[in-house]
Amino acid sequence: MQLSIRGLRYRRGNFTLSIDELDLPSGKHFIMGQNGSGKTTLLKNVCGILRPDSGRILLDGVPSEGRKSWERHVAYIPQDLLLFPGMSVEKNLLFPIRHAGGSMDIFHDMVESMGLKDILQRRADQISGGQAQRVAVARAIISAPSLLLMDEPLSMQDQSARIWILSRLDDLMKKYSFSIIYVTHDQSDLDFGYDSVTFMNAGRITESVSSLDQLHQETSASMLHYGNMVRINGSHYLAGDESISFSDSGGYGYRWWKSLDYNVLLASIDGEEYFIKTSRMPDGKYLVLNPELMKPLEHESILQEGQ
Amino acid sequence: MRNRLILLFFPFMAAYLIFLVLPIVRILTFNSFSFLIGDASSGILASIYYTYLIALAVAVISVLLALPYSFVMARRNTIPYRIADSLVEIPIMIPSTVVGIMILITFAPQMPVGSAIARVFPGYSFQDSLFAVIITLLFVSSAYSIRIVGVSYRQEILRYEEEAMTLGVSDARSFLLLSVPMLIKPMARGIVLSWARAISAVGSLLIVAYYIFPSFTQLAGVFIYSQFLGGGLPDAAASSSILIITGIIAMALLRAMGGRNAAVY
Repeated sequence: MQLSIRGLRYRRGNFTLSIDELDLPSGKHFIMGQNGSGKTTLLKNVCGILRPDSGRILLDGVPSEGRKSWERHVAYIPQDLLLFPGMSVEKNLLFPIRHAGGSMDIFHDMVESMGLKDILQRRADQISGGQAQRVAVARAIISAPSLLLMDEPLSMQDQSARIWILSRLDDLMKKYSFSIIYVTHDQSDLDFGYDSVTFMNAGRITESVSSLDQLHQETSASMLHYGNMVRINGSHYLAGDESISFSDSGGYGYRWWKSLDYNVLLASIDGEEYFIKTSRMPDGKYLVLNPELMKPLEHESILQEGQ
Repeated sequence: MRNRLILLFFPFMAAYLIFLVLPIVRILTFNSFSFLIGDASSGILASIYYTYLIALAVAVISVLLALPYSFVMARRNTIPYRIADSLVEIPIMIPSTVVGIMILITFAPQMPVGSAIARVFPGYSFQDSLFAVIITLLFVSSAYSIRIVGVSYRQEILRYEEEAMTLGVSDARSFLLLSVPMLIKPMARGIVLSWARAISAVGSLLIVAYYIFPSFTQLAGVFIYSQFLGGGLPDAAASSSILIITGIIAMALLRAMGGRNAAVY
């Protein structure tokens, strides 16, 4: 399902969600942002739990204004999962089948692939946080959505379970033809591939990129663990392999370690420490960064004033 | 630190509990047991029976009204709705006798609303009728159910309903299949509180229905008040003891029922 947003405004109290334009074609899209940046509010507007004050949300080109949340085929997994209390896991999973357009075939598939067979008869409020997250993901997919909104639903999974579920999501997306919009704080979630990453700050989209190499906002880069963002003489830059070299005679002090198929440098620059991910093998005592080959990052506040 | 705070606060808690319990113990021990047995034949048992029954009916009506009320209010947050919602608490702060007068000048057959009812139901009379009692008790006690059900629905239950809707389940089904079962516990709490408030109403009933015709039944509060005026403190205290004992038992039963019904799946 393709999501398009035009001139969306949603105001509650002191917070305003304001999205001028956003286009997310079918695929897997991530949204990153600090707490309170409006990620959850955006998802709730898309699935119909909240109604925008103005603007349009188009699902596959069709305006969603007149469509109730149960008519949108947009499933939402909130952070607190909202498994129906008092019901068994099985009844939770069957709920969208018995009372909506969910699929029994997907039910069997999800029970198997999410490893839920042994907990089907247990009450949903008596299973572990990690199990509950798997049930919530399974229940949402069983409802046969065209778009699945996931609001950090895997935060309680250990790394291996997280990797397993994320890799399964890709298969399920293709198998059952749905798109995903996934809110996360964890950059490692991006390792499984993405079609776009949208960054939000203070109720606005700061930028939306199809590759992290395209980042040009300091606020976006600061959300990434190994964002390769450095600050030199008061200006922010994105360091890439081409701008990195090593020397024994001068430069910035650093430590480094190997992580998977890349090296992580912890460099000390102008009194601050920065993580830099690189494929270059450190071969000198000091790190040298060539500002001319680094990508300068803009400050969002300056951009806003300019606008 | 926490232990020190407990030591500091404990005397206040204990003092408050003693303050609550002392008058109850006092009235339960004011008369001898044989005096209580003798008072049981004064008519207080029948009065208590009718009082509890009518109060229960009023509490159930209150809770049934609370359901649609909460459904609408949870979905409307504009200023007119918020103002309307704040009206719910007004009956709580109005003195009971004033409520009686308000109800009387609204629903008596010679008053505008009452005369409209009389046109639909010829022979309609209001004062000292069962209808008058129910209307009056509903006015003073429904706010408790409305608030308990409303707050539980809006703050705890609505989000489950909204989640179900994103799974493709319609609003009506989500409400009936998820919210209503989850509301049983708050509804039971609402019934207990509205019931208790309805039982404690006296002032408004003195004005609206001193007796309930044609049976000449007096509700318990009015009965005890008339006993106090006619027979003095011992008789009134004895009937009060019986009312309190039966009230504690009935309250325990209602709470137990509420607890069991909460587990609906």
